[in-house]
Amino acid sequence: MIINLLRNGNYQVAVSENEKELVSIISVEVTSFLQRSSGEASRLFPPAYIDEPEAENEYQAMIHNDLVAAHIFALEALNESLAKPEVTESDLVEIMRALNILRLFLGERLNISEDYEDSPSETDPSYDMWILFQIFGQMLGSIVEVLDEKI
Amino acid sequence: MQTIEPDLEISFIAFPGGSVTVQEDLENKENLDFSKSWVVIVWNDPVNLMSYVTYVFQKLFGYGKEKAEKLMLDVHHKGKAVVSQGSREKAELDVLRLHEYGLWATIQED
Repeated sequence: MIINLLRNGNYQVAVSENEKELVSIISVEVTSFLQRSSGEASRLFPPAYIDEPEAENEYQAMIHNDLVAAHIFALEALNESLAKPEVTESDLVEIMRALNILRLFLGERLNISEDYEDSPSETDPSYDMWILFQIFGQMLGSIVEVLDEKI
Repeated sequence: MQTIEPDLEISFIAFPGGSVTVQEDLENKENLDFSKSWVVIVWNDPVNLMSYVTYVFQKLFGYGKEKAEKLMLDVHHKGKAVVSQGSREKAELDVLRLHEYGLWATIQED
């Protein structure tokens, strides 16, 4: 992914066809997961109250659907934006947010934790998923670097 | 979300002219939800990039780069950091915004 700031303040985001396809496939899977999820993916739906079950239930009842909608909105914006010749800064923020959602989803599947060892072997069944996790991390890092210059 | 249950004892005092005023029982004021301070804590998650966490703190809270980086490093090294505080309503809104950005944030009473 290569991102250029244009004179009009927008950004040109150059993504390879392979990257675009990977983003599309995984975001469809994550969107489908979000639509049927009731909050079991703790990274996508973290608790707000740790030691107050009643407050936590009330909070989740109030915001869960909003959070699902916000995640899906970012994923839709991601695929739409990658097809555009140029995007606005807010589009780029949504792309960034969506890539992080994809990483959270993959991180959950990979059981990433502080103890997670780098790079599973190529014969490990999770190897392809780990590569995707790394690719999305590089794309995310590129966007943060560009946005950081304007904040 | 918890609703505010007023603990005030309200006395209606009738004045000779027929007007009414309200007297608060100030002794009970500390029981009010909005009189308490709540903190928002962000917890470490190895999935999130350090640069991303720093950017989110800057964007959501308007912190300068230095402060945002210090908070991010606290999260990274100490496992957590208090990133904002205020009323319960403000804290819940901050947590929702952080969750929208995929950060693991929780609320607790200060």
